[in-house]
Amino acid sequence: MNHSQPNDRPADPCEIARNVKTQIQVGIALVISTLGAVAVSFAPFHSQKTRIFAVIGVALLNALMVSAISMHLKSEKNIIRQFLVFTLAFVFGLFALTALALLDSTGLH
Amino acid sequence: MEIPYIVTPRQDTGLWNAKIAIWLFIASEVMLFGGLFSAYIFLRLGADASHCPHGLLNVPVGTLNTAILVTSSITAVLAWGALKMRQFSKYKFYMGLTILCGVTFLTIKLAYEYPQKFQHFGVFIKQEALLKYEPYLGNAYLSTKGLTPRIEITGHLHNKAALTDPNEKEYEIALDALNADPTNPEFDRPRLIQKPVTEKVIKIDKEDVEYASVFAPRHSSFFAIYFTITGLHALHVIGGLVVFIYFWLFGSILYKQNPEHLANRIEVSCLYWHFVDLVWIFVFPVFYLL
Repeated sequence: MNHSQPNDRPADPCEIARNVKTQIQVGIALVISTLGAVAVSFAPFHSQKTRIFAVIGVALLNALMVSAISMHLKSEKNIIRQFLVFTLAFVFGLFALTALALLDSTGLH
Repeated sequence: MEIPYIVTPRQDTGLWNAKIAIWLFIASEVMLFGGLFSAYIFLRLGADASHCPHGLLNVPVGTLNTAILVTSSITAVLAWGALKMRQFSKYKFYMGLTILCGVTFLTIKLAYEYPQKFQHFGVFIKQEALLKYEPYLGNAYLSTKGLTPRIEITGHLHNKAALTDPNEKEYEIALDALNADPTNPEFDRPRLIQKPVTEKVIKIDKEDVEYASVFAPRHSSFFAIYFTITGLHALHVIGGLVVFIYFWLFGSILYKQNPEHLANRIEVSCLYWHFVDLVWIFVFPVFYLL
């Protein structure tokens, strides 16, 4: 079997058009939510915590849109999702170390 | 020798070579940027409230750059879509737009935002001299409002020789609007639109200065990690642009041999570009908005 054979057949136009349309919608949603985050960050909140949660919440939502839809993670093969889970475990482990170090230095335990 | 699975997927994984390779690469990048963001959070949580960086960066310009990067992601997908439909001239057009957006992003970042910071100068006043510079700090006013006191006077340095010449005993600074009018309530909170540097010039004795620097990495932990992460991100943008420019200029050779192979290559390039976009989605709010 030739695994690198030339393939001259164009893809299904409807499927490609749907895919491109979804990506454009994600892009527009990203720009709008970014403007929303800017508005929230300069809004007169009394609590800094509220501002941080709101802005980071928008960032996480945007990241979820990009990874799930633009990067096709929601329909990607399981093997990719599996090693990304390990990667995220490592990253959150790093964040946990940061939190533990902070607790250690401030004596908040 | 023929390399297998460059177009068709392996039966066991369901993935072709480049797809799995780019995801492994992205996973390593997640760990790299995750570590740096973790470091930033650590530094930020440990910093004194008077060092709050909110308002130091140009938010409208950052927002514009976000929009440009998001647009480039869309045009990259349009280029991939055109290739899948075997419309090579459309692919060239959209890929050209993607490259233009990427170059614009970099130009704004490296030729406008960074130099603007390097022109700005900050002087941290010693605790015992804070009263002497009260007209430019407004701490009595801030304490009545329960706001965090200021310890830094910022603006543009006039006598640049003061940075290196020990005989220069003073810094001559054209003040930022905030320090020129520190009791103005509009400066109680960070401003979306930054005001330009005023024409009010003051002299600050070097003896009263704890530390002075332009807004470069050595200015503070904030600028150190800001330049590290945004600089690393800019390097990733440059890397993506090199790949896009290569396929824009020489893609026709591969297209004539095997159009699906080129489409696959553009697809993995787009995955990488989306990841660069994803990193910026965190950089922008964390550094510019908080």
